[in-house]
Amino acid sequence: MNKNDDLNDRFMEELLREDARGREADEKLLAAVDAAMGGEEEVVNVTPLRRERSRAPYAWAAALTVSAAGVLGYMGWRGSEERMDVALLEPMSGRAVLEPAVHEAMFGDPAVLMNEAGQEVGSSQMQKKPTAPGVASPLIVADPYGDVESEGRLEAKRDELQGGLKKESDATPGNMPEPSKPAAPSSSMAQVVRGEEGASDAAARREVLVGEESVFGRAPSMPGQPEPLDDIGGGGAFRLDAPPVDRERYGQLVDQPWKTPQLANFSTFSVDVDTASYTNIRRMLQQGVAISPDAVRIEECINYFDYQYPAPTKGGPFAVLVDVATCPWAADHHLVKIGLKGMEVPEQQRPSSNLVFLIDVSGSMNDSAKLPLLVDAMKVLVEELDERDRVSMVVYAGAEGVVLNPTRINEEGRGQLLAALDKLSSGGSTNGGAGITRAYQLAQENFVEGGVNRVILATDGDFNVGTTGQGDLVKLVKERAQKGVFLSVLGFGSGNINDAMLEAITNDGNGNYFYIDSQKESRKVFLHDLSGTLVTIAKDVKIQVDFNPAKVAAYRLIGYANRILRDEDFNNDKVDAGDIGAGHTVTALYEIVPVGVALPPMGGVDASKYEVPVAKPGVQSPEWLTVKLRYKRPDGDKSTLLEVPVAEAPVAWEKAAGDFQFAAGVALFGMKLRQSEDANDAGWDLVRTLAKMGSARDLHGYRAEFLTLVDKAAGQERRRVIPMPENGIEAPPAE
Amino acid sequence: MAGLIDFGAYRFRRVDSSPPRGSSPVPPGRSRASALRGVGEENSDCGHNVVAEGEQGVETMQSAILMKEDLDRVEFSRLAREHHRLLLVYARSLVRDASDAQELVQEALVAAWKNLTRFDVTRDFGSWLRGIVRNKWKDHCRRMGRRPEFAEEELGELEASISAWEAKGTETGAVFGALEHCRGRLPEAFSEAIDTYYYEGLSGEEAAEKLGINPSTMRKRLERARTALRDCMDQQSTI
Repeated sequence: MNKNDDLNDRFMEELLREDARGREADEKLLAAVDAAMGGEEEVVNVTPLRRERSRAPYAWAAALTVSAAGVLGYMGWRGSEERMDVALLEPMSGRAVLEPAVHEAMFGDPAVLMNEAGQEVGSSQMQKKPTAPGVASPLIVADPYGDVESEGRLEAKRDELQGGLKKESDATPGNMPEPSKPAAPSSSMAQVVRGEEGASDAAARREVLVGEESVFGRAPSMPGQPEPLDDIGGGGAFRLDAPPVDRERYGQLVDQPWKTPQLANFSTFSVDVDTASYTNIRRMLQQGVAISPDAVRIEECINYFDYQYPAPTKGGPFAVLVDVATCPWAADHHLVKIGLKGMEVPEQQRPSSNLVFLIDVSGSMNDSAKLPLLVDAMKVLVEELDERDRVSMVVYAGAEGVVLNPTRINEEGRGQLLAALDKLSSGGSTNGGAGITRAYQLAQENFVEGGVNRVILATDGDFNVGTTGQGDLVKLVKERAQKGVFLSVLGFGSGNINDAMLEAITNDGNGNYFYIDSQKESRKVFLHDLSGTLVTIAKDVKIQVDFNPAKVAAYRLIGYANRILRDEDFNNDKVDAGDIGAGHTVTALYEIVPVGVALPPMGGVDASKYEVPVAKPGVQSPEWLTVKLRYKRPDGDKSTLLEVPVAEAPVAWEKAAGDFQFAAGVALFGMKLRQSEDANDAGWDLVRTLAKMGSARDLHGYRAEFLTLVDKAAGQERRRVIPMPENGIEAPPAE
Repeated sequence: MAGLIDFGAYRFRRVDSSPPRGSSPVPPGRSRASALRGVGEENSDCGHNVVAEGEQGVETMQSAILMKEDLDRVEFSRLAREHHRLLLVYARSLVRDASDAQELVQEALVAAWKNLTRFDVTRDFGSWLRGIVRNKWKDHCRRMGRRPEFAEEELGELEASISAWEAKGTETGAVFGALEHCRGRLPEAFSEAIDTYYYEGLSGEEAAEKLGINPSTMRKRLERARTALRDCMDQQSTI
């Protein structure tokens, strides 16, 4: 039998290809399914365009006209197809500013194009899909295996290939039948995934991590949990079209499970100074919207607040402060707080800056919670700038354009900038890709040595980036960060904020991400904390905690779910991590179980039949753990190591410092919103108590505001536990 | 979400007989944020009205309705996420064309959602989904005016294998896990061939050149490696 006709063999073939592709979920497909689940049409309608870049109305017109039966739908589809020719041409002309490397990544990337195919799957008009090259070409060109072609074409190709193979074999009869040993093939997932174009290194690293994590087993509380990290960071989850529904998108977060130093001494993660998740939660609580657990990044909630950590004294960029206290929500456990404090840069000493505002003026920004708030936020920033600073402004919608050339912010310049801001109006569809490239180009042209060089992107995140994927955007942003141009992202609006995307592009040392929900928040970011927002004092800041098995039976990192690094990445200076701005504080909490206390459920795998479990004795040391920290100077590429051993006896949490109590309260708040099992025994009262005890010092009233959110969250949960309807979801039948 | 109602991944069903959300003009769950906007904090007793699902335009009930719908949805989305990659593999082995395969899977998942009531809880969810993919594939063939390329017998055989591989693993992605395990056990010549061709993405010729073998040997070796992998996976699942 011809192997090609053997279904079993075909399955193996496809399985291998899928496996080789990595563990990335097909987010487009899932999003399309999700959109269709809410719809009334029997058949899913997502725009059939493959390369369509805009969320233009006609795509939806086309999609909506497609009813299950054909003629209308067919015409709609045909219409889209014709327009696609335009769409295919457009990127070429609009993209003159792209650098060749970017261009190549955008057009030559199988992974990305496959994703686009995911977009394409929505068409119900399968039978009508022509095999005309113009339509299928992106995939055909891109897919190294040719398995995306129509069957007819495939046959042709197969014959060709076989012919080719035959010819070649004829031509080289003297070949050795057995292989001479080649360079070791990269069989590990790690290399494969890394090698995959388009997948960002970070994404790859996380994926690899999943494999490793799974050795440990996931938290037992997650039956049927989807493959974990494939979607963290949003994996390509931005759309080329917009379903006509409000949907906020969050990458899925999987909390760090309990681990034991017997098996895993190290816990390694990248710092996160973003605060967007907290602001977003605040907005949702204030609007009375139910909170998706995946919207809650606990570390961002904790790091929203300022803590009074001692400033560095010895000339280094940070000081590290570690506290140990009893754990408020688990009597036998301890809570270890690691606090980092970045060196302060007084406003007068702030280096001069070269800022490029990149502003989304697409139709979706036309909302009182978006563009007006954006203009207001920018004005707050402008007021804080002075002659040291130069600002340019690029807007993007259907096409990008420079609306303000680099302008020094003296009195005249300020006037020009404010006038340009006032003129902003929204309309058109979004093409973020060209805009961001243009913005970086301007930033590079006006680079200030030793100064602040930063692109400030203001958007609702509901953009696509030309024909490219999120992976490429991340790559671009990362490359530029290495050259010293950093990114700040300001997220606006609700309803369709693409949180996952915005977070992903600022992860891993690419910049910082703020969610602006109010004028008050603009002021926090640009007025109270301008130096922190603009001036990066250290980059690629990684933390590795080394636990002493003789003292610690188990540990759990709270939050940082999508910031985990592989242990070996800690010493690898090529692996990016988060930045720290001037004066910023970063806080991380570990819940630890001292030796001798009952272990929490760890899930995990059965012990190997062939291995005798040997307890690691550990060295005799009073230390619980050692915090190791690596960072680079903003312009450096070699990291510096700091080590802080921790041996303190825990104090009772009631007696701990106010900042400790407050951070613990915020952590518990986040755990409860994430419905963490570890917070099962703790009530909202405890959150409130911790927050109150920790609010003695509250400069801008942020902590008081937090208390009001705790009340709202508690109220929301009370309403949620109202008994479920009888006719809702039946309890699982007894097995 | 799972903390609220404890339903196992494969063991839930929608009991109400109406199709999900029917033709309500503002389908709940569709726009969480907008539906809730303007719904104050005060509607604390709305939960009692959940039975009124399907009634239209009753804004104040929506948050309670959303809860139920969302739970169901969340669970389904989770299952879709869990299964879609293997379904794509399956669909591609049926139709070859990747975008056709994606359409099949998407249609199948949507149909599964709309017909959740018909899911027999004693059956395996993945297997049920593959059944729907098969049906969609047959429809597809019919529309193309082609005879389905594979006979029932062959389809049944593959289904039996996949079910067995899936049943062996307890975690999601069991089939991929089995594959990984078996890749580790391949004789070196086979595993080199598989690695270079599939995982390094070289073309047949390039891979052959890299391994210093004749391209036709390469092709043969890949075939045999796939067979060996499948045999290994079958064995694994019967242990």
